[in-house]
Amino acid sequence: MRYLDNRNHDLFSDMFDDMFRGPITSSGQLMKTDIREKDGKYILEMEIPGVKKEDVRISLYNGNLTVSANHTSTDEEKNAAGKILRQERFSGSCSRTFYVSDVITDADIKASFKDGILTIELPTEKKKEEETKKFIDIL
Amino acid sequence: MRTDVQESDDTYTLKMDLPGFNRDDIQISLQNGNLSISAKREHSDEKKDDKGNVLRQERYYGTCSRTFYVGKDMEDSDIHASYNDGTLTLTVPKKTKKELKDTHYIEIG
Repeated sequence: MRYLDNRNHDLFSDMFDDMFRGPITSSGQLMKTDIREKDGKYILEMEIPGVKKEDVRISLYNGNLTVSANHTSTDEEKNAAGKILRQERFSGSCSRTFYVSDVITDADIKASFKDGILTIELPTEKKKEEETKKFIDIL
Repeated sequence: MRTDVQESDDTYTLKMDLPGFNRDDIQISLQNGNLSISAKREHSDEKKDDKGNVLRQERYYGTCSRTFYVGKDMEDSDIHASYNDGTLTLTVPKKTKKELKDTHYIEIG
């Protein structure tokens, strides 16, 4: 259990330092994220302005939590808005991945999206489900 | 405060990224033809305790503002603003000469 604890602490300290960088464009970093620990939970708050909830996807695979967002606008919308005089905001798709340990399952993760902020909550500790001994019947 | 500016036949549309602000903390003012948008997001010490142990902070906290010149003839009522999904959208009309205020003539008594 101690081992698991330590590992979980590494999760948001050392391990992220290298891989923990949002996509960077000429106009700065995208998907800026704050992480805090409170009441046995990690809370991630990620900035994804100007995206609809439906265009944000969260996936969990082999302990990697990936958030991808797609800033799309159809040609019609673009034409309706008129000529672009200045474009600083990002358009396109971007994604960012966090390692959250492979004991975390989909059911442990809660997410909400409001005012361009995606909030994800996950437990800091989770015991690996004890594998029950399986007995094989003798036929 | 990354902003896109688009021009259509009769309006300019500004779209500004302002993720995670309270509506009340965004202030838009118009003075001498300068349209200023300022936004505030603070981390008070009290809140910090409440928020728990901060492990990483990349997002910006504090005040930021940006000003655009829209012309001296613009009035507050001409500009429409909405805030949705972390984006502030401002619509500023293009004023043609006809719409400009009529010059006020003062009668000679």
